[in-house]
Formats: sequence, structure tokens, C-alpha cells
Amino acid sequence: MSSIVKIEAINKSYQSGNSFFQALSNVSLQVEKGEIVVVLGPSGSGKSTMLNAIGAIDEVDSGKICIDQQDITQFNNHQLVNYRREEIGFVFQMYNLIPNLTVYENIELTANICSNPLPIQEVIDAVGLNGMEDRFPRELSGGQQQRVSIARAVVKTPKLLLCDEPTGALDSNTSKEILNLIEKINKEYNTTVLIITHNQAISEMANRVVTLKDGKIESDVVNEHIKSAEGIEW
Amino acid sequence: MPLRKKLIRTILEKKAQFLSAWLLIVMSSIVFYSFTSAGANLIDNLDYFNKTNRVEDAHFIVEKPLADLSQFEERFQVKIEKRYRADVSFSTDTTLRLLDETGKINLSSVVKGEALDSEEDILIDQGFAKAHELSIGEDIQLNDKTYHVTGFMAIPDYIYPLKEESGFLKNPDAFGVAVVKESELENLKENLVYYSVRFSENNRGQFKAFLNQNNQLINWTDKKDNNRISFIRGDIEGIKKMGEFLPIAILFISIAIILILLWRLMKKEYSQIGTLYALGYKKSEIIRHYLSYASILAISGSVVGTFLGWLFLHPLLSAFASYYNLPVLVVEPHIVLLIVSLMLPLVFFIPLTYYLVMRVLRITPVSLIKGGELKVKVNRLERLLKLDKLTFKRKFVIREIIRNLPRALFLTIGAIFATVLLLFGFISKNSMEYLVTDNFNSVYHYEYNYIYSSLQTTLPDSGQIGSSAPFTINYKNEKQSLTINGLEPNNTAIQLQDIDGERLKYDSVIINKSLADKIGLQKGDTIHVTNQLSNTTFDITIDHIANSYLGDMIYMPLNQFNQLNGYPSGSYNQVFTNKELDISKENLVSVTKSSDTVDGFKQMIKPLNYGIAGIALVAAIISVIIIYILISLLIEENSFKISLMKVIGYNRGSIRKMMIGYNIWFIIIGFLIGIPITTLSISAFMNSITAEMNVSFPVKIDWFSIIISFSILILSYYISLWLNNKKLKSIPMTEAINRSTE
Repeated sequence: MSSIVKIEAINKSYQSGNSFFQALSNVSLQVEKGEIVVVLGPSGSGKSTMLNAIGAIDEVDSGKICIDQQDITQFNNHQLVNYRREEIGFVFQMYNLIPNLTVYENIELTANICSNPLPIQEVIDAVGLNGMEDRFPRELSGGQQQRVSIARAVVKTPKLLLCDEPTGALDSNTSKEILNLIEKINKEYNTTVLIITHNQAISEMANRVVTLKDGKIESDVVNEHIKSAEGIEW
Repeated sequence: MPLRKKLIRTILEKKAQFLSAWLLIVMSSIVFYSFTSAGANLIDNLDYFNKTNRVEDAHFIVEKPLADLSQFEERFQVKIEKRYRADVSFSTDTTLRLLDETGKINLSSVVKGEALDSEEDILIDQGFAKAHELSIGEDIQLNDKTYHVTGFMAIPDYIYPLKEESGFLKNPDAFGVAVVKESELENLKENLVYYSVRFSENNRGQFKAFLNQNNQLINWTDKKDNNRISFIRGDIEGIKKMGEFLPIAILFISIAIILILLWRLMKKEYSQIGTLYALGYKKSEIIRHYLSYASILAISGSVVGTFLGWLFLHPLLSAFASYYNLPVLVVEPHIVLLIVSLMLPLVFFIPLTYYLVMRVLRITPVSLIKGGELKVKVNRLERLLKLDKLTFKRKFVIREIIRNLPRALFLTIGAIFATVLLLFGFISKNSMEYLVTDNFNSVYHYEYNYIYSSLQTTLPDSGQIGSSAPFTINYKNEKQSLTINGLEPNNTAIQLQDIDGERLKYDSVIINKSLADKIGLQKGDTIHVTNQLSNTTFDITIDHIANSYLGDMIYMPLNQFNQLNGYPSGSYNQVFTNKELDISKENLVSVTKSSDTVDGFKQMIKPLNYGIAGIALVAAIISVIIIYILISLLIEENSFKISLMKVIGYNRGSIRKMMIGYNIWFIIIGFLIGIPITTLSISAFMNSITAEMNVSFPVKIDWFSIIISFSILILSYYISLWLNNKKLKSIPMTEAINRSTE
């Protein structure tokens, strides 16, 4: 396997008034193609900052973030937009759907701007939302909304699916369904998945589990006993 | 495109707010296009009419008839035409002025009907025909002769049919003009002969001097001093200025409202904007999306407004053209104005909206996804205020105000704007009423003013004598016309007072306020004046300024007037009297009745009342829109707080009082600031449009108008509250709970 993500010694700090906060400190990480990597850590550990930096919606102070051997920290604005458009799929904890667009239109929102989208209906079928195309987010349950969010990310066939607490707002049964779906996407489309969560249980389905604490990698462990999402004990 | 659908759905979701802002743009475009293009079309038609119908440059009366006009024409490269006019009685208190059919200058145009064919035919001005319900084909009786009305006409030297060229109020009920064959007027004993002239070279002075060599100029009126010809230009200027000032002001208000709406919308959509970033949308695509809101409103508003403006243009033009006796021959869309009307909102909106969107996009995508940082600033002003001793409710309200000062300021500006609009109509009416009822009646204490066609030396049977002549003064490199009146020191027909109300006697030189304001004269100033009839020049020193606004006048002792002008001692050319005198009409240039002027005013004030009601309605609509949008935004912005207050147990009345009620103070403050702003701006506005007219406008306002305007404004406020009541009611208590768990 070749690595799709190679992070080398990234640092990121925030300053608010007089207070200074080191979010990431000399973090290095490698993710192989097709892997599911779970990044665990409590609030404030820097996991979201790392995910945002990989997704090019936040900048780092120093270090390299290579995606498919290309250092995105050196990208210009145009390259960054293309990178986000074509290579990355985001799944958010609060789904972040556009409330006055239907299920179909929310997915179309992404399909319209990427160069090689999957057929929208195929993705809708894949995430199990068949028949709900014309519904608005407010007419869906939390789990259904997260499915739309996943479909929106997947439709562009991204190399990397970045999931920020994808089950954080869901009950255990729905969470399992969502993780199942992510697993399915990983297998069906060979999409590399990076999930950040504070929920330890999710790590059972990962190929590798990385633990962050106070902006530093505390552990990076290969999961010898991968369970299917269905088999996770919540 | 999904983003386009989002755009349309968002507008539909907030339709009341967007529709209100859109209406303001529509109103702005209607006013801009209808008024400016009406002004431009009127100028076109006026110029076209004056050119094709060869309006005079001046007219004059001489003591002895001019025998050979061609020698003048050749010598001075002018066109001269002998004119006849005769005032005949149409009915009791109604005069119809008969003019002869000209061939070279001041040609009449048949607006409706047929041209003159025989000596029994007559063409009548439209305004007079309408006022007296005369129709084409009808026969009328004048001086025991029956005339057949063959049509209605317009004539360039009577576009504004005033009995006196220095008058300012027309009254078609009492006065009108008609055209008959020259032979008809030659035979009338009350006819007056005068001459119209058109110059092709700048040799007016030589021409007048030549006339005075073997003859005596009794009266000379330049086109610009003839209100029958010149008044229309001032009015068109007024229309055009109104068409520029009002829509720009409305547009600024709508821009501010739309920017507030968009700012609020974007704030609400921070996380959507951040998500679009994360999905790979370019900054330019996000900017385009938000610019589309402003563009849709601006383009659709200006297209609809301009179209309606085009529809309004026609009735506006015909109303104006029929008020003045001007035929509307062409109506052009005026492409430049059309383009400006269509583009103006867009030109204002796009850069400002762009700036606003760019400000939002300066926030990092990560912050945007999180919904932006919540900032509850405690500003310096709030820290300075010691609110500890106040009750909770009062403290709450004061903090709300201090934390939202820009919104309070905008509400105040909105109230000022609505006040200016409301008071505009009232002040115009009050000022007109003052000009005539107070000023006219307090100054002029006579019923008849007889002006002779030559200087008189024997005293009349009754009445008070005086003299007047047209003069010019050089002001800012231009000749400003004025009239100098010589009066006997104890004259009581014209009673002037100074600014302090002190009665002035005619043993000194008095200038009226209208002229003093126009050329900036003070007591003690010396001016150099030139008699337009004789070219005699002399200096006079101003002793007093009189509080009178009618005409540009100087008054001085009659003896001094005669002496300075080289007129015989004791001579005079006018008589002021309260009873009708038996003076042969051929000896007179004109007879003016004060009651006709007052009637004319009453006639004129009638449509003004409808105008004021119209302006008040527009002002009320605008204020309802502004207040409605601001209060609905306030409710939306504070929905969490309102919901929380409902959960805690506050009733709707208390919530309304604490969250919205205080806004009434900004309406009141706006109204109070609006009063002086209105008087100052009307004064400037009126000065600019009356600069070319020999009348100035005293700006007056009464308590009744203030109370009515205030009531309309407060009513608008309560209507806005009532419209927003549903919104306040619909905020669920669950919102507070849901939002705090997110």
C-alpha cells in the first residue's frame, strides 16, 4: 500500500487576546490508501485542527501536508480550491446541509462543481435515501441528514473522506448505520477514510487508531482485530 | 443550479422583508424616471414649440406707433411684428384677452380643432376652455359679436396665461387668451398696440437707444422677465430636481435596508458559507451568490420601476402641459435617462454588497463552519454608564439600545427621511398660503392697479399715484432684472414692514426680501441700476429691507424716482385704487385686480392639496416599510432571547415593551431632527428653482402640519408593530432549548 496522506511535523497555534494556544505540536502522520483511520482524543486535543488542515480549510504554521505526494501547504488559492473540489469529501457532526435545498439538490451542490461525479441517483440509492430525494433537511431525521451529508461528500468520488465526529449527534443505532455506510463507501469506492471522534468504540472498525492529546500524537496503533461497523459494541 | 434555487427559496422565505426593500427600489425608479424624463420631455417640447412657433425675445410699447418696421429689421437684423391685444369681458369678472393671428413671431398652434378661417372664428386657450366648459363648434358672445370656436390653441408668449407678465398666479376662471383675425382687433377701440421682436445679434442696447431717439419707450419686457414665458422653466427645473433628489434619497434608504438584510442573512448562513468553502466552492462563486440577492432586487426593481415610470410619465406630462398651455408634440424615452434609471440601483448596490460579502469572507472557513465567533461586546459607552440603580427592565432596554446603536441610528435616519417627505408637502402649502394670504394681503391694500401707456401729469379723480419701470443690475456677471417703484411718501396702497414688523414709509429706499435674498443685499449697500427703457443709469443706497416676497422690487420716493430717471416732476404711470376708474382702455397698458390674484391662488392651491395627500401617503408607506423591516430584523436577531423570555414567563406585552417598545423614541428623535432639516432643505430647493423667477419663497410651517405629520409617523410605527406581531407570536419556546443544546 502507498500512503495517500503524509503529514510531517505540523504545528498550529492560536492567539486570542493575550492567551496563546498550541493546537498542534510537531504532529506527523501517515495514512495509507484505502485505510480507515480513526483519530481519537478529548476536546481540545487538536484532532479537528488536524482534520481541517488536511482538508485545506485551515492553515498550519509550519510543516508539510502531502496528499498523493503533493504538499498542499505550498498550493496557491486556485490549487487549494481544486484540491477541495476533487480530492476531499467532508462529513460534519451537524451535517451542515443547506436547509432550503432538497436531498437531491444538496448532493447536486457538490456534483455540479467536480469534474467526475457519480450519478446522483446511484449515490442516493447507495446511502439508502431512495424515495426521499425531494425532502428538505427539516423533514429528515438526524441519521437521514447525515446520510445526505455522506452522499454529498461521496458523489465527487473523493480520494479522502474526512469525517468530523460523524455520529456525534446521533443515537447508538443510527450511529451504527452511519458507520456501516462509511465502511461500505470505503470498500465500494476504495475511499480512504479519516474519522475524528472522541468515541472510543468507533476505533474498533479502523485499520489504524491514532490518539491525540494536547496537540501531540500519543499513540498510533494498527488495529489487529478490525470489527465491522455492525459488530461494534457501543 | 442548486445555489440559484437556494437564492429564490431564501427570498421567498423572507418575502415580506425583501418585498419591502424591493418596493423602495421600485418607488425610487418610478420617481426618477417619470420626473426626470417628464422634465426632459417638457424641455424638448418647450424648445421645439418656442423654436417652431418663434417665441419673441422681448416685447415693447412705444409712445408713437412705429411707421416702417422694415427699416428696423434691416438696420438691426431683427424681426419685428406689430401686435394687437384687447381685453374683452367674457362674463362678469372674467376677461378674455384677444390676440391677433401673427405671421412672424409668437405663432399660435392649433392643439385641437381647425385654424381660423373667417373673421367670426376664434381659437381659445385650452385651460380657459376647460374652466368655462367651452367646446369646439360652440358660439360665444364677445362685445356684442358672436364668434365661432374653431379650436383650441397654444401660443408661445402665453404658455403660462397670466394677465400681467409680472404676475405669478394664473386663474383660468378669470382670465384666458384667444386668437382672432388681425382685422377684428384693428376695429376694436380698446385694443393695445405693442411690438414683439426677435434678435439675431447682441444689439439690444443700440436698438432701444434708437427707439428712444425719435420716440419714447414706455414698456420693455425681455423674455426672461416675462413670467408668461419664463415661469415654466423654473417649474421644469423643480420637477427635474425633485426627480433627482427624491429617488436618490429613497435609493440610499433601500440600499441601507438591503445591506442590513444581507448582513443578517449572511450572519445566519455563516456555517453554510463555510461548508461551501469546504465542499470546494470558490470565493468568487460565493460572492456571486450573495451579490445575486442585491442584483435580483436591483434589476427587477429598476425594470419594474422604470416601466411604471414610463406609464406615469404620460399623465404627468399631460397634467403639466395642460397646466401650462404647452402642446405635447413628442414624447421621447430619453435613452440616457432610461439607462440611468435601469442601472442606478445596480451601480449603487453591487459595490456596497461586494464590500459586505468580502467582509464576511475575511472570516476563516473554520470559524464560518462553526457559525462565527459569538461576540457580546461590552462597549465603552456601556461601561461608562452606571446602570446599577435602575430597575432590571430599564437596564435591559438601555443595554439593548447601546449594543445596537447602528440600528438605532438607521431607524432615526429613516424617521428623518419620512419626516422630510411628510413635511415637504405641508411646508409647501403653508408657504404658499403665507405668500398670498398673509404676505400679499398685508402688503397690497388696493383692488385696482391701472398702468398707463404713457407718463401722466394730471392727477386722477381718485386713488394714489405711483410710477414703475423695469431696471437691471449686474449681479455675478449677469443682468438681474428688477422693478423700481416710485411712491408718494404717504402711500397706503402698498404697505411694507421691515423684518421686525415696523411699518416703512416711502421717504427712503426700500428693497423687498425676495430681491435682497437673491442678490445678497444689506441695509446701507449701494447698487448701480440701469433703466431698461431709457438706458439711464444711477446709484441708489438701500435704507430698509421689507418683509415682502412678491416680485423683485425696490421702492423709493416718487420725486426722487422721477428726478433720477429724468421724468417730469410730478409725473406718474400708475394708480392704485379701491374703486373702478373710468379710464379709456387705449391709455392703459394693463389693469390688475388684487382679488383675481387671490382667486388664482385659491385655484392653484386646490390640486396642491391632492399632491400633499399623495406625498404624505408615499411618506407613510416608506416609513412603514423602514420600520417594519428594522423591527422584523430585530425580532429575528433576538429570537433566542425572546424565546427564553417566554420560557421564563414574560408575557407578550412585556416582551414587546422590552425588546421593541423603546424604538418609538428613535422615531420621535428622527421627527424632531427632521423638522429643521426639512425647512433648510426646502429653502435651498426653492431658492434653486426660483433663482430665475422674480419671486422668492418664504418657508413657513404651522403647528397643525407638525401634529398631522407626527400622527402619520406614529401611526406608521404602530402599523409596523402590528405587522410584526405575528412574527413575535410565532417564536416557539423550544427555540431557546434547542439552540442551547446545539
